[in-house]
Amino acid sequence: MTLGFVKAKLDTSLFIYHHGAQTAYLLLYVDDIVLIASSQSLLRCIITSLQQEFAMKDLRVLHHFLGVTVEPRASGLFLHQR
Amino acid sequence: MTNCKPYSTPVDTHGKLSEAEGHPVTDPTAYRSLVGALQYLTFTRPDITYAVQQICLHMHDPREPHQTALKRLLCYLRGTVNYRLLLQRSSSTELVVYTNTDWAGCPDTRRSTSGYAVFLGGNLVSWSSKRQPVVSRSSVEAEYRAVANGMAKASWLQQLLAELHSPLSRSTLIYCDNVSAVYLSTNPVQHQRTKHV
Repeated sequence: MTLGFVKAKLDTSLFIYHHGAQTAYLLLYVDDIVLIASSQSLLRCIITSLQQEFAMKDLRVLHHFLGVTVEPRASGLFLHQR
Repeated sequence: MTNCKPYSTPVDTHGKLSEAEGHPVTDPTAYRSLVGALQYLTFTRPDITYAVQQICLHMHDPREPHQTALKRLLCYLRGTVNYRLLLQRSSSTELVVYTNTDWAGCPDTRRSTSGYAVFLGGNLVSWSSKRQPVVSRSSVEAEYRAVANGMAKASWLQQLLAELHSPLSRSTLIYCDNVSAVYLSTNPVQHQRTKHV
């Protein structure tokens, strides 16, 4: 919240950061976070700020969330639960 | 179940299952826990949404034919474990909704079952299969309710996209396969058979 995130009206676990051309979405479920940002620098900046607030491990590119596996491909993303 | 013969479809095409047919299963808890797991699986497997919805209807009192349907679904999954949901980068930002319904398909309640699939720029983002809460007295009424359900979801997605600061540039397209329901949607005339809808 202090970083400028606004709680989404339509989804209680979604937080949106929007400043000029820079946008970031933060999805939070208990102790898991998915962070999406419009640029690498913004992403780094938010992660660093979050790490200052509490202990947090950066698991890099999204590959697993709530039992759903995410596989990046050249054409897009593959979602499965094998 | 790991050595079963894989089926190519999740459900058989003949009528829906009645709730009071056959003997109660010996282990209803196992049925419920399996169905619960399958419900979670529908997040990445839209193809089994309808099959899971049908099996879910009998959670409270699972019987032999329901268990057979469940096993059939598991056999289908056995043959299709490699199916994944693909989300592709897309230049178009357009919502397209497809809806369909049966009419009075449920043999016990005569309620209709309807479903929708919402595509955002060619990617499937939302889908549902649900038995309608009330009895429809004509197929038009059932289709019209399906369109309304699909539209409600599309409008929720429109608002979500607006909140994500990427509002839609084009209006949403919604398809249904009943000509009379299309007429009714474009011109909601009062008629003896539509006034209660």
